[in-house]
Amino acid sequence: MKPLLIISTLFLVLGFTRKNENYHVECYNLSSSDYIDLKVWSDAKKYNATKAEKNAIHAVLYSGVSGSGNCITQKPILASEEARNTFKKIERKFFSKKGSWKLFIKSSTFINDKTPTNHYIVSISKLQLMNFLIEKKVIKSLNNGF
Amino acid sequence: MVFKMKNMKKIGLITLLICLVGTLFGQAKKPTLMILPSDNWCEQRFFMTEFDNQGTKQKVPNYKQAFQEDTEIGQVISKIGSLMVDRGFPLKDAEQEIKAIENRTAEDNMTSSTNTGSSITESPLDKLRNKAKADIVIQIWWKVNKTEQGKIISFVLEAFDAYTSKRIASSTGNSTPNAVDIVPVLLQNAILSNIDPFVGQLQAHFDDMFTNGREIKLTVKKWNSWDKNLETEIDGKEITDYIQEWMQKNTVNKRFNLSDQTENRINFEQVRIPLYDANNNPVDARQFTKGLQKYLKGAPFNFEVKLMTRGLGEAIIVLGEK
Repeated sequence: MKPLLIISTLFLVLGFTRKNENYHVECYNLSSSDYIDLKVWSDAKKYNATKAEKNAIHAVLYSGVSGSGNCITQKPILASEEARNTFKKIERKFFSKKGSWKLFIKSSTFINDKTPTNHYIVSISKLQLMNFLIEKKVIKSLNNGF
Repeated sequence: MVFKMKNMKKIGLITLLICLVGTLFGQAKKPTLMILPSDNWCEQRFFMTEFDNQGTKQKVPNYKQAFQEDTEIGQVISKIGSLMVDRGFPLKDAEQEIKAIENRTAEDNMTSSTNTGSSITESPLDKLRNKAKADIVIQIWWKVNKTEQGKIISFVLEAFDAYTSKRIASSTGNSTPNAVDIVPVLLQNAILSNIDPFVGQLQAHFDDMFTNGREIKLTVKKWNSWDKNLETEIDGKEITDYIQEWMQKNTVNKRFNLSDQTENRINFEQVRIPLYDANNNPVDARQFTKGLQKYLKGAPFNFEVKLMTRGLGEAIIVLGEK
């Protein structure tokens, strides 16, 4: 009876911690060839810089970023099913506490715009992230095969 | 034990050699990319040359004048070029290419044989083809519009396959009004904003090429002096049918379109050719069409066949003479 109770409690806890938190990302600035600045925010109560940074990288990888100002909409880096499946194999390690995702964050700044949601400007090195994924054979480089 | 170690080393070396050979020969022919301003951009900025083409006035872009006189084009091309280098695909520089052609022509004109004083042969066709060219041409266009809220940059970046004339990538957009930054900064923002979607489409084109083969154009013509035409029957079958059968056997998944066919000419479009031959050597339009040339030179045809190419992607064979 006891192990069953432990397992069901564990599932309950995991269920709460793994729940999807909606976040919003839009392109904020594209003034450098190496970095892309993203505006990230969420309706979640405890939304901090680390979550914003992870969400920003997640968006660049999976969903792409909607355009605003001088940025036009940017498609996701993992554009193909094949790339997404390959990345899934390293995703857990990549987004872990000591994972590589941190290498691609240049900075994150909290914007106090007196709204109920927390807004962050996260600067990501998109080019380095792409080179990392090429190195890990998740995506192909443009001259691959030539 | 020593013998075993030596053998292991040998096996290791052989494996490494096989891998190296595989890498060297398993590479497809890399298309060249070159950026040029679009015809409309050249027209707007008066970088056009007018000439008389047998009674019809025709305008063509004067790229040399554009590179020498325009202050923005150099910056734009340089920025796109550096971004493409970052993405592992250096571009052919149009301005340098034009200069190199001029130098080569001057050198060729001055070169003569030490024994007989003979000069280098150049046919009118060689002269016509002696111009800056690439397999993929990237065309750029932009316009600065002034509004009450500030300057707006409209920007178009397009890539065309020079031989199939197909648009293979395109990215376009308008910036929001900006009253602060100068035009070069606005242009840089426009390029940065457009480059990744553009490169994504180029990548999709290359992926398609690796999956379905390289797309080429193939034209079969005949010399006027030839005593046969493409409808002439050999062993009860027209020459055209033989050529079509050969195409079905040698294209990727029998993919080609016979877009035009007369007794004097056959135009094949969207011909998908394999990237490598049976020996794993890279194949381009010339290599592929050499196969057809060999087929038509052999029995029962025994034709004289001239083969000409335009870059990696277009081949023309002319039957009847060399």
